[in-house]
Amino acid sequence: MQYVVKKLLLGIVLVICVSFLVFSMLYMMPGSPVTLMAGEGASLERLEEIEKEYGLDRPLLVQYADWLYGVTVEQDFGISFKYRLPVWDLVEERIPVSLRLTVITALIQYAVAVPLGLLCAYKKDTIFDRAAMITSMIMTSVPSFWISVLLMIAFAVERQWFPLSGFSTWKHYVLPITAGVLSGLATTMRLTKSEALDVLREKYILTAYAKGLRENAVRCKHVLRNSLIIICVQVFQSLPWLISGYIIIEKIFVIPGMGGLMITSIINQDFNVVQCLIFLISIMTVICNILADLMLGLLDPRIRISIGGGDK
Amino acid sequence: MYESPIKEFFRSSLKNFNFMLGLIMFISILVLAVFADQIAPYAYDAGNPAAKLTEPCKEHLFGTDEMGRDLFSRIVYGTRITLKVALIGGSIQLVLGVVVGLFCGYFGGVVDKAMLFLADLTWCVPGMVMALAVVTVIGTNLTNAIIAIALVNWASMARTVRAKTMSLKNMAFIETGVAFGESDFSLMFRYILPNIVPALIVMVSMALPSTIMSTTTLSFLGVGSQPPSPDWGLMVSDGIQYITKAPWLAIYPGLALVYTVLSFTILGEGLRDLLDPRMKSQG
Repeated sequence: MQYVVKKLLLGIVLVICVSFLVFSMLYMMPGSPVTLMAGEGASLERLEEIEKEYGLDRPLLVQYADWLYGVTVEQDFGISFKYRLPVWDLVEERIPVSLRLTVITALIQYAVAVPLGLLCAYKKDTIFDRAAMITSMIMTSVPSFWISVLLMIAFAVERQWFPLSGFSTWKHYVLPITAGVLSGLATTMRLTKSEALDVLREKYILTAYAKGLRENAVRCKHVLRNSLIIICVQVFQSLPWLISGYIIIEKIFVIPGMGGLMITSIINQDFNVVQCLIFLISIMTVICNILADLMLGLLDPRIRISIGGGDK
Repeated sequence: MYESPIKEFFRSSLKNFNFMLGLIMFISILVLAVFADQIAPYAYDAGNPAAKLTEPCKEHLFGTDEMGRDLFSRIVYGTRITLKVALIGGSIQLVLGVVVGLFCGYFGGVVDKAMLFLADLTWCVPGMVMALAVVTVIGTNLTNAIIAIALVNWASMARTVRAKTMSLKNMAFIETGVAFGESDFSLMFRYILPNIVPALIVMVSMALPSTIMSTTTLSFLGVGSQPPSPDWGLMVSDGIQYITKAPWLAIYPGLALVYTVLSFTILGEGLRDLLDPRMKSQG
């Protein structure tokens, strides 16, 4: 318990530091959002007026403290300069879209990659393993935006099985999710393989064989269970990275998620929206990492003891 | 019998399939970049209004784009951009990683703690998101995109350098150096650094594929290279607009990118087998 609290506190410190870093970076930015709001050729007085109205003329620390207070106490992320709407209203409806895509992608990706990785480990140095490893090396060299484009060309242009873009029916999900799954598949597969190989080298595997267990029993009961530990942890840790991966995919398939919003906000220099999105993503990263740590303790008694033992 | 390490390296490299394959692929890219003026039949920004969106044919090997520019020529010129990305991005990461890693590993203490915290910070936000934020602040062009990606990626290199430095710091030859009255600076850069050079080469070559991919992705998203640059990421993103009429616009630049990234990946794996002593003793 103490461990969890400690991790949480550290996480909060990290999130605050990141948000301050991003805040000050955006504060120092040359292109001011004021000009964006006032439009081209606005008078100097008008610019100053807007600056005062939104409190942009105050010092950095005051602005940041004000922002942090608004966020934590009133759930107020400020106003989008571009859309003239509260940022939260913009972001709120996009969170579930991105989360849904990410979770489905993660589930499919691990469901495919883990068995493949295990198979590679069991059949190490066979043709199957070699072929899988070469394929995975090629796949890690393909950027996700190009995978998406190829999928579009193959299944939306050449054969019109799925729609090109948009987001309403289940058919709209297929291509983005496939792109998401494919772009992370190779890495997960390689990780599973190396993890399973590590387990196979352990002494208890030798013991299991020595006491006459069948091949399949050893594989399912010992190897699979023990390599799943790291993989479960990996699932949690990879969620934030998947979300950031979806920035690209969401832009290509014109999906109304967080990623698409992030890109347009960055191009429009819409401070508050960018700040809010980065804040949310860093919170998610911290939470996922804490969950991953807890999961690790839950699944692996050895680690639980070393954590529970605390400072010894 | 004594054999100079360089000679030994060349001899074993001839036997290393990955290294040779990667090297050949890399040299082919290098040739394209250096002799782009001779190889490309057209200039990369020479539009031909009479030949818009031509399908791949004899005059235009890979077809033409919406302004009638020859896609093949643009891809050939694009190799220069990609190599520039690899060179500058790799160098920034290398210098930052080596300097910070050496200092932290050698001195330890407060500097070290601060650096670890900073590394934790960058790890708290996915790299792409952080790079996007950095690029927003410093402005959208190719050089800034390279800087942004390097700023996000250097931490992992610094970590490795730090770990290596810490393990070397306590070895006998460092104590000898101290006894000779060498300065800290000299100990770091003349005693420790040469010992981690092989590891550095491997690290850089392993970091290049992701550096190239991330920077191209930034260009693809519109915050890197700006038109009419023949950046492959930018070309794919332009191609999406004409995906129904001219799919080749999005296919060929991507193919070139995959070939380049793959060449660096294979070269990196080969170098690792050749230079990483741990792997060598196993094989």
